[in-house]
Order: sequence, then structure tokens, then C-alpha cells
Amino acid sequence: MRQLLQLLVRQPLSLVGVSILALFGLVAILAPYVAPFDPWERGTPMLPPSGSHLLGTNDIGQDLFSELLYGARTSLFIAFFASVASTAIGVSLGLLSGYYSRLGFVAMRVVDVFLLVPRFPLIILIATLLTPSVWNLILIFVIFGWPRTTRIIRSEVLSQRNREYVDGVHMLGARDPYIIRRYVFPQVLPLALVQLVLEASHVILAESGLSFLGLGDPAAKSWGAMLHYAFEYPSIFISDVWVRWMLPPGACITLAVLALVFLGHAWEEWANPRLKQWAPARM
Amino acid sequence: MSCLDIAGLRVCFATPEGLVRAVDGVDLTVGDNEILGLVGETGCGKTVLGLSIMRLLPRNATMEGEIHYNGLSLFDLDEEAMRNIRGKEIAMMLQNPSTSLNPVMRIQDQVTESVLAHNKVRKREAKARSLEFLRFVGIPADRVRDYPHEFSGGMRQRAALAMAMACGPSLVIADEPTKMLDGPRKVQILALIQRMQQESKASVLFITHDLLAAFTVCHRIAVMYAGEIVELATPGELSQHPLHPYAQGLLESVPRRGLKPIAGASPSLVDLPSGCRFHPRCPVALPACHSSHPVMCEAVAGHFVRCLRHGPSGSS
Repeated sequence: MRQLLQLLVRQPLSLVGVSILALFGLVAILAPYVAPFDPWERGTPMLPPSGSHLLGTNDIGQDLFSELLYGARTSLFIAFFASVASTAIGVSLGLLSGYYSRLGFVAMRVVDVFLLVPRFPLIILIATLLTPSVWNLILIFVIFGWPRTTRIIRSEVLSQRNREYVDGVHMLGARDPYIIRRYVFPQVLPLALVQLVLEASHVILAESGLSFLGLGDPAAKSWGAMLHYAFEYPSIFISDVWVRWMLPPGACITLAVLALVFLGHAWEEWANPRLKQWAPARM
Repeated sequence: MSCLDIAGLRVCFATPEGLVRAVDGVDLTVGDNEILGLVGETGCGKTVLGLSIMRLLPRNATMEGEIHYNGLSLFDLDEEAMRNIRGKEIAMMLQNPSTSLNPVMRIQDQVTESVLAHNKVRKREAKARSLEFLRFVGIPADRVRDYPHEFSGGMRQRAALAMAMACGPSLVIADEPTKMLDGPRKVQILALIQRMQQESKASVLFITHDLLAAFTVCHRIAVMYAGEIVELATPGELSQHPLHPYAQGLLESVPRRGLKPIAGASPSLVDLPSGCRFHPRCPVALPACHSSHPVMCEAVAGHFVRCLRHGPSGSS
């Protein structure tokens, strides 16, 4: 914990990342309390920004600012569950396939197939086949998220399990599950955290993309869906509407992804000392 | 009954270059309460011999022969039974103190882990015991919560000894425990191993390439060359009357006797020389040495040697 705090201080970018994420997280949790309007409620369409409607309303009279707040909810919810689930699967499978070489061989061939197939078109294909709902989206992202993590974790496990102290604990009569839990897992944990964060940023982008294409959950408000409806509005680019309708969700997506990338980058540097930029020792 | 009884042990590794015969027909006994030294140069099969006792060889290895531990045939045990032997009955100390400890675990936790591995005791009790072991090897109480990187090489090796002792094994395989240490540390760890052996009544298989270290602690010394035991004697006998030319060469090569190297390089274990394995490097080789392979025989009481000059040959 103290290490994490130190990290935040030493790496300004990670502090920026954490702050942005904390802000979005807070908004997502508190959306029903801080949003001035129910984002599904229809009022007067195309109101310009005013004191009560900060960003005005859309073509069917929904408050854009409230939509934006609720959008954080969907995006972060999906990003959180999808990345946690796919990292959990990736790490467990990576540990097992790194430790047991035969299983590893089989698992890596499956991973190869997943990594070979272009990810996004296939996600679109499956998304069109499944009924669009938040949980189905999460399922899709998990299906495409685990192979990368598995491969990365496995490669680290391969180098860890041949360490002499692992042989040593073997010689004390330790069982495999114990060795994996106490000796290998702690060594790959930092890498797993980095993967978790980067995976979350992938998911946010992919979810926005799907919603933008109209393949997201129609019942949920999301940033991608806002862009989708904005694009469908006929005169979006010939008036100034895009400034208050398209820019904010686009900026939110960018910010969220940037925040996660910053955080992932800082963590990666912490996890991998070789990337550290050494400052000359102070006398 | 002897503690460890190895008979006709052969260990081969299948490699792309061919079959590597790392251990080739070794018969060896470690008696109760005995420190047996296994001396030989790098790559002669010492470590492989140690690992095969633990049954922890890489998967491309094949083992033949028999190893009996207190009358129990180790090769006939299933994996779970073998796991119970490791650590609890037979413990192994690894050769490199800088890599044989887990870098992200505190020293005391590692020793505690070793105590807990086979003893059904509470964590607090295990911690207390681990402290005792660490005190025994001379690590001050205020250092036990350190991580391995905060320790010196000698301290790490002593901590490794504490770990090996923690389960109360009756056989300790010490694989080059003095390898990475400087002179004074070496003496210290040797004294500790000796004291540990006397107090715990364990037997020790002391694997080393350091002949002088073996002379100071061992009760008997086996000299290994190219996968075979070539001479077996007490330290006194071996230092005064080495019979095998290789053992003589080893003795000549220690600093005190003039640092004379043995000519030639140790043979490839893939393509072993015919006849006596040492004959290409042997200064006193007979014509017969090229073709006939000597067998182990007792030249003097309790002093065994595998050399045609001192005994009969077996098949070539």
C-alpha cells in the first residue's frame, strides 16, 4: 500500500490516471443522485445548453448531461467486470499452462487461434448474433480478452518455475498447488495487474465501438450509444450541435482510456524494474 | 543398517547430441551418522546423483538401479509417498545461495514454511522453532525478518542450512554448500554442517569439488570421475595414500601441494573413452587401460579403488 502511494507521488501520470478514474468511478456510482434529469425521460427536443440542461437535450428531448453521467456507469461497469473476469481466467490458465508443459502446449494452440483471428470484426459478428445486453457484451469481451493475458502470464511462469528456489521448495516436499500459489503467483501478480488495467482500456474502446455501431445494449445509456444517435441526427455536422452532443462522450471515452493507459504504464514500470529510468544517485 | 544404499545406479539423459551417461553404475552407501564426501570435478555427475536420490531429475532422464533409504526402495514409491520423503526424511541444500532462496519471502517465513511442510504444528510454534534453527546457524534474531537480498552469501547459505534442518531429516544432501563462499565463510559453514550432523544424528552426503573441505568434515570420501566412483577411502587414507591416478592428480592440484593441474579435459559423457575412463589423461596408463574397464576392488582394508594397477579388470 505504501509502495502504491509512493508510486503515485513519483509518477505524475499515474496520479492523473487515478484521479480521472476516481472521478469517473464516483460519477458512475452516484449517477442517479447527481444527474439533474432521468436520461430516459423525453422532454423538449434540441434545447440549447442552459442552467438546467447543461448540455441541452437531444433529438428526442433527453438531457445530454444526464446521459453522459449514466454513460460512465455502463462503460465502467462493463470494463470492470469484463477485465476482471478475463484477467482471472487468463491468470489461472497462464499459471497452469506455464507450470504443466503439456497443458501449456494445448492451451497455447487455442490462444494462437484466438490471437490470429482479427478481434474486432469477430466481436461485431458475435454481437449481432447474440441478443444485445450488458452481460452478453461482457461475455464477448471475456471470450476475446483471456488469450493475451494467458500467453503473457505463461511466459513469465515459464521463467519463474525454473528458478532454483522453486526446485528448493520442491525438495522440501511441497505440492504443486502450494508452489503455484506461494511461489509463482506472487511473481506474476504485478504483471497481472498491468494486464487488468490495459484490458479494461481495450474493453472501454470495444464497448464504445459496438454501441456506436448500434450493437450495444439499447436499454443502457453509454457513451458509444450517444455517439451512435448523434451520428444519426441529420444535421449534426452543419450546425453547432456536435459540440455539445458528440464532443463530450468522445472526450469521456478518450479520457477514460488515457487514464487506464497512464495507470497501466506506471504499473508496468513498477513491475518491471528494467524499464525504470534511473536517476543519478544523490550525494 | 546403512542410511542410504545406492546400487548400480545409472542415470542417462536423452539429448539431441546423444545419450548422456551422467551417472554410470554407482554403488555407494552412506552409513548412519556418517558424513560421506562425494568429490569430483564439475560435470562428473555429482549433482545428478544427488537429484536422483530426491527423484527430481528432468523428464528426459532415465534411471536404472536401486536406491534404498533405511531399507525403503525409493524408486518403488509413488509420487505422493516420495513427496513425504522429500524434506522430511531427505533434505537437500542447493549449491547457489544467491538463487536458492525465494527473493520475495522473509528468511524466517521460509524456514517456518519448511517446518510447517511436514510437521503438524501451529504457526506460532513453527515460528518459534524456525527462530531456534536460525539461531543455531548464527543468524541474529533482528535479522530474521530480512529478505534474502539483504543477506550476505554466507548468511544465505546458513539460512539454507536452517531450512534443510527444519524438518528434521535423517539424511541431508549438501550440494556444494561452500561453492560461492570465501575462505572464512567456508570454514564457518563446514563447522556448522559438522555440528548439525553431530547434534541431529543425521547422515550427510556432502557433494563438493573442494577436496580440502571434504577432508575437514567427511568420515569417508568417494571420488567420482565421468559418472563413476573411482576411489573410496577415509580422508586420512586418501590424503596420505591416494591410489587412483585421478585422486593423486586431484591432490596435486590443491594449492598447498603446488597447484598442478591434471592434463587434458574431462571426457564428454556422450562419448566416453574405451577401457578405463581416465586413461587418456592418465600419466601412468598401461596398454591394457585402453581396452579393459577396471572394477572396484578393495586394495587396502576399507580403501576401494577402480584401477587396473591395483585390481582386476571387468568387461571392457
